[in-house]
Amino acid sequence: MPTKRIATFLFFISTVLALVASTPSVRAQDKLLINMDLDQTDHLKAYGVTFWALKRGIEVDWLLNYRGGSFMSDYSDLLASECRIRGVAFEKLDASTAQSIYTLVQGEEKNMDVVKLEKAPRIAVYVPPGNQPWDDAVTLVLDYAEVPYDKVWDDEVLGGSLAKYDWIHLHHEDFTGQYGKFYGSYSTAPWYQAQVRLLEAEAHKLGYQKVSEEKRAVAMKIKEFVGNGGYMFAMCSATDSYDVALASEGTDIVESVFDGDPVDPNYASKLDFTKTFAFENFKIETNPMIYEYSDIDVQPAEIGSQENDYFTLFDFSAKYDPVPTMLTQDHVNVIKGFMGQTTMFHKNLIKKSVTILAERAGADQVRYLYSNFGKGFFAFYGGHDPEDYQHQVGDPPTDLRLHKNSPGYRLILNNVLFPAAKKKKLKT
Amino acid sequence: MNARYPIVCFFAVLFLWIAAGPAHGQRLSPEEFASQLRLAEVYESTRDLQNAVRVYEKLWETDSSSSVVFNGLLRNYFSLKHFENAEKLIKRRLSRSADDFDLNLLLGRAEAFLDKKSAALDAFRKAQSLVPSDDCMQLMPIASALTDVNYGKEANDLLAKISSGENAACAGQAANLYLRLGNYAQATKQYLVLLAAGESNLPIVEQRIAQFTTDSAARVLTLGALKESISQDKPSLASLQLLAWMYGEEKDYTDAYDLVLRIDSINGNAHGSQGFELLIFAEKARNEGALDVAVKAYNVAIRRIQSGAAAHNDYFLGQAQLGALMTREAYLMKQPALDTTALRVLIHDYENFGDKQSANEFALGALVHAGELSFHRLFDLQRASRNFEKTLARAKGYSDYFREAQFGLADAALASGNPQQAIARLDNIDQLLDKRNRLEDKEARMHVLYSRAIIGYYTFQFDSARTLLGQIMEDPGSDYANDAIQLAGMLDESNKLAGLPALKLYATAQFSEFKRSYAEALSGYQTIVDTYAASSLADDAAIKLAEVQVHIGKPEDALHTLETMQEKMTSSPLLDQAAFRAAEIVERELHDPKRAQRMYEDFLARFQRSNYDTDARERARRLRGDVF
Repeated sequence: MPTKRIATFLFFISTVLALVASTPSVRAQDKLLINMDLDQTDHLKAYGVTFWALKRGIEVDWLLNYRGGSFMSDYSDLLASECRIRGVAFEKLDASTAQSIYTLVQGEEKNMDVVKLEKAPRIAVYVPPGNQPWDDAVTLVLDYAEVPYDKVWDDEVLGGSLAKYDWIHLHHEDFTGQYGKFYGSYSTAPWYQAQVRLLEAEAHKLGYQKVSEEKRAVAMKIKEFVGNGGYMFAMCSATDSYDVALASEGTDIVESVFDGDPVDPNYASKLDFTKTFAFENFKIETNPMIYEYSDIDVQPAEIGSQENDYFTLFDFSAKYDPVPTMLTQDHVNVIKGFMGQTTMFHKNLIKKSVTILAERAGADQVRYLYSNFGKGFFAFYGGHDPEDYQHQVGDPPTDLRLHKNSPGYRLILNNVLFPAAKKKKLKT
Repeated sequence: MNARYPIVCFFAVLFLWIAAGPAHGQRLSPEEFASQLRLAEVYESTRDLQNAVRVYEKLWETDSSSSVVFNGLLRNYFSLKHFENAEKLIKRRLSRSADDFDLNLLLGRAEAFLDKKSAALDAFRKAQSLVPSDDCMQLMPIASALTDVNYGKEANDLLAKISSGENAACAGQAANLYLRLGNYAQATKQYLVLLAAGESNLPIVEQRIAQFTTDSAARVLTLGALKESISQDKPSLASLQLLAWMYGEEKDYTDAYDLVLRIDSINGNAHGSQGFELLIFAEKARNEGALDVAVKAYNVAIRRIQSGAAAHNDYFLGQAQLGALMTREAYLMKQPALDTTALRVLIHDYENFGDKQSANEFALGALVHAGELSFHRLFDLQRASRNFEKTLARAKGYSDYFREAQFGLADAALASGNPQQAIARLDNIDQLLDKRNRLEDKEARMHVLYSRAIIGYYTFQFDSARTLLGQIMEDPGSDYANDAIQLAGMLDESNKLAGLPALKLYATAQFSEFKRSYAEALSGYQTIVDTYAASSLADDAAIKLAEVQVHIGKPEDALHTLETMQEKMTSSPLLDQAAFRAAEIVERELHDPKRAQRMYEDFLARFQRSNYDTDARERARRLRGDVF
């Protein structure tokens, strides 16, 4: 009967309308954009929120070169609440606005691209037990951004635990076994003597006669980790001391005050630069009184005054060079410098295969570089603390609540998210 | 004659001329020399050390006898770590004066930095041979250089030789070097030698130890060495005082107290001034918040002073007794809930002390404390006024206590609803200040002005109040400037025909609050909220209403007030304050953490960039259980 059909049709229509009306006001296509330009209230915590989202299986897109390298994901009240509670600025976008952003970013004429971040990387930080009388910029920023990480040391590295991680960070370390080259200034300081005892005990425990031998073994293990697809980020003295340790395999560059026997008189001719990651043709500093490992490091006299100390990030093609682009995402591209035991690298000592990410304009002073080794990548970043120009032994740690928009610290956090990126086939 | 001979001669002369060229070609006039020297100094001061070295080297070639050039060049070689060049330079100079003490020291340093230990030690030994072997002052620079280059064993050996004579003249320097070498035991012994030479050296020793032991490990080692030294020998008074000071630096007041007891006994027996050291210690402990120790120290100090017969004992006794009372006050104020019974007893004790104390300074202090506690904590206006009056009666002239008592009386008069009497009190203060006519009374004058403005405000003399506030606002450095600006802003906004009724109600309600007539205050604020909702004071009144409701123990009412305000006064600039305070009441008065957490999170969603953001975020996270 027609009446019955009409009634059924009306019933069907009203059911559909009721369903539509009851749909929550947040539509599935709404997006949440965490802008990373100068309007962002807390850049460092923004990385932490992104990491937090990844850990919960929320996919995040990294919009390279769009508003300082912003992050976009599906909108959810949970994510929005977390942004608010951490003080991270964000924008809620409707589907069409979000789509127009994607179109813009992926357009051929723009040096931008979208990188999908898949899962939160597992992070290890190489740090000895106890407190060091200096701050560690990477653990500081990871703690501030609330990015979880594990601490590992020689036992774990030599025991093969690195395989559990995607990313290892090294900060102010000495892989040459010369106790940080603090001998000239601090040999009588209680903390230094305690450190010597700790390192020697650790070396003996692991079956090595000398700390230099044990540290070299650690360096080799890390190299193996990178070769197998791991990511390594090193700052300050971990950069050049690492390569010095690798190059000096098979010779003794450590003076007798450290290991009881003198330096190999022919060490210079036995250095093998094919084994290093980033540097070559460098001269090693064996004098225990000098606070340097080699001539890789740029000296304070070469830098001049603090007021003139800046470095510039290079631009890369987001579409064809996503890796360096990710590593250099920032809301400014000229950043104030900062010193460290290893501050910057002399350009002429860097291998040609290495990509320079940032340098001091008009000088041969390179601040930040990266390259691949085997299946993995490494990045070296000179200097000790991006917001403490000259961090001294015994100085208090930097309070990142006062530097929540630090462009220098952002570069460290780029390395945290980089391993989460989905590998994309490069266009041919 | 060989035809080649002239050619050979020609080339020989040419060769000699070229070789001599740099010497005579580069000769500079005195003006040019001075100018180049100045250039080198400028390069050095701007840290362009490479160019500084270049210019100094040129000058050195011109005149290698110049000490200024030598020192400049050497300094820059050391800065640039060009130690080989430094070594060559010094040796060249030494070739002319081999027995120069300073040059040999410098050579030792350069060779140490080149890791040529044997040569370095030879140079240092040579320097040592050039000075008398028993002259510690002349040997000290060698020990210092050995320390600088980290030849610890040699430095220690030389210092042992230098300090074997227990020469107080060198003890200080030796101690400093020992500290740098990490030899805390020897450093301590040298400081004790210095102290034995004169107890007046104690402040210098304290300063040096503080300077060299900035890290906790070094402090602990020095403290350990000092304790050991003192336990072995019969310690002097100064050494015990040093140890007590070190305990204080470590904030270990318990151990410090035990030591001070001992020091006090020794000092007291020697000078008949028992209790004095304990008194000083008690004052310090009280100021540092170590109240338990302070109480014990005061009590013992009082007993000892009472039993002594030294001159001025009454004075110190008074100081100790007042200090003990102030310690009890600090203790009471730290408790989460005020014990009014204990407070009354304390006030009574202050009054007793003030009445009986002969030393005026302490009596006045006690009476003012009694008055302020009576007023602010118990709101016993009669008792407060009585104590302030006694203070004025005992005071001999103008003093801080006198001024506080005068202001206290003015406040008490106002709080009892007698603004005329309050004004009379302020007039008294003004007259006294006029008589004194001193610059340091500026803030007291601001206080008077502000008090007059407040009275004017309470009594509806808004224009006069505004004028007085304007005078205060001219001095942004005054403590009363901010409050004056706030009140003036309110008056400017509301002291108009339309806003006048609400303003009067508001002023009355605030006055009632000041008089602690909370029922009247509640009624006044409520009337503004209900009847004058459109007035610019309505939102302020709502917030004030909530505060009074909390104060009288009605947090649910306060919460309702704030929530209603947020619903009805949607354009108020105080919405964030109301929302934050509401969450805070739920957290702290109603003790509902889950609800409070939700309210803080809602706050963050509603208000981005509020002044309360940071606190709201911190509290929400803490309630959520985030670990920091």
